[in-house]
Amino acid sequence: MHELSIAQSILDILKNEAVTNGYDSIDSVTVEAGEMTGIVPASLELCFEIAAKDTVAKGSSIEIVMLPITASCNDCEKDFDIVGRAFECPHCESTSFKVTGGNELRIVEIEVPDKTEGAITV
Amino acid sequence: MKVKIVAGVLEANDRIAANNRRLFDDNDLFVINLMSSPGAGKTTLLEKTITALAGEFRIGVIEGDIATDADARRIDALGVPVVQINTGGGCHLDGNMVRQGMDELPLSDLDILIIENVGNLVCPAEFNVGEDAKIMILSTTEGADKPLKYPLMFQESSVLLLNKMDLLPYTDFDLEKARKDSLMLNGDLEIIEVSCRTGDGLETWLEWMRERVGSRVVTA
Repeated sequence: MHELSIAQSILDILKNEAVTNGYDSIDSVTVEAGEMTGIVPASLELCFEIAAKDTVAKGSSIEIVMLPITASCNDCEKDFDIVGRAFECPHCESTSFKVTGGNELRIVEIEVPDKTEGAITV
Repeated sequence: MKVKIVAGVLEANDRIAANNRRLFDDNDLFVINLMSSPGAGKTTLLEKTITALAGEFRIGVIEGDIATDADARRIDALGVPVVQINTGGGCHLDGNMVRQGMDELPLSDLDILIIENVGNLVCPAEFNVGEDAKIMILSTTEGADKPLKYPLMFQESSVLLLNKMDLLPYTDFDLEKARKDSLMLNGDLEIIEVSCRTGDGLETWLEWMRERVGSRVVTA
């Protein structure tokens, strides 16, 4: 539901990167999102496409890498991923653990056209 | 050409929230961000809380709703400063919306600011607004499966108010499961059972508020 706000936040960062580094366009952006954020990738892709119109990221693709919810068991002290909301340690079946990750939401990489040399205007 | 960057997607919001935080601190304000599903009892909790604490503290309210000023009218009837923010379809309040609401309130004349977020168990948890604490309500009529289905809000909150305890006998709500799953997600979560309708358990909540507002004044 909050994908449009998130798409707009991503675009604000991309616009800022473009201005700072002199990019004329952006080909793609890679975003990592933890499962805990409740991001629906298809929805974020659509919102991004719509929000990117008339910006430096117009037509660019967005790759969303979902990261698992991770936890550390309080009993056997092993780390594990929580898959399919099965909140139980797969090693010792304990339900006592600390959630250590899964609420990430960050841009990790962008792809921009290679700078063409020689096109110097005087 | 690939370019590695590491940027928190919501860092712009976090910056605004940090600015809000500074303004709250400058005014010695204790600020809570109240979140829950629609109909869990946020506004009723607010009414009870304001009525009980009005003699001790000066309270202001920011009401977030998709539409209508019905909630703001309920709060206004209690005689405390309130500003309504209509998100016009937006599913949560963010730092900027709260900032706009703050500008309409006499911050220096307040001890407590309560921000009632848009009714939604997902999105509000993602956006900091500069609050001291996130408080959430889960009501017994919603079901005990909610912590695992909507883990982020349970993880982000300092207090979980289990509301509508008076209706417990009429529901299949598994109280033990709700407690266990909530604590699994957030071992520091303070769980308080209340009924905003009958008033049962509210004293524990009010004590939590008094203690937090009090300790804030001492450390400020």
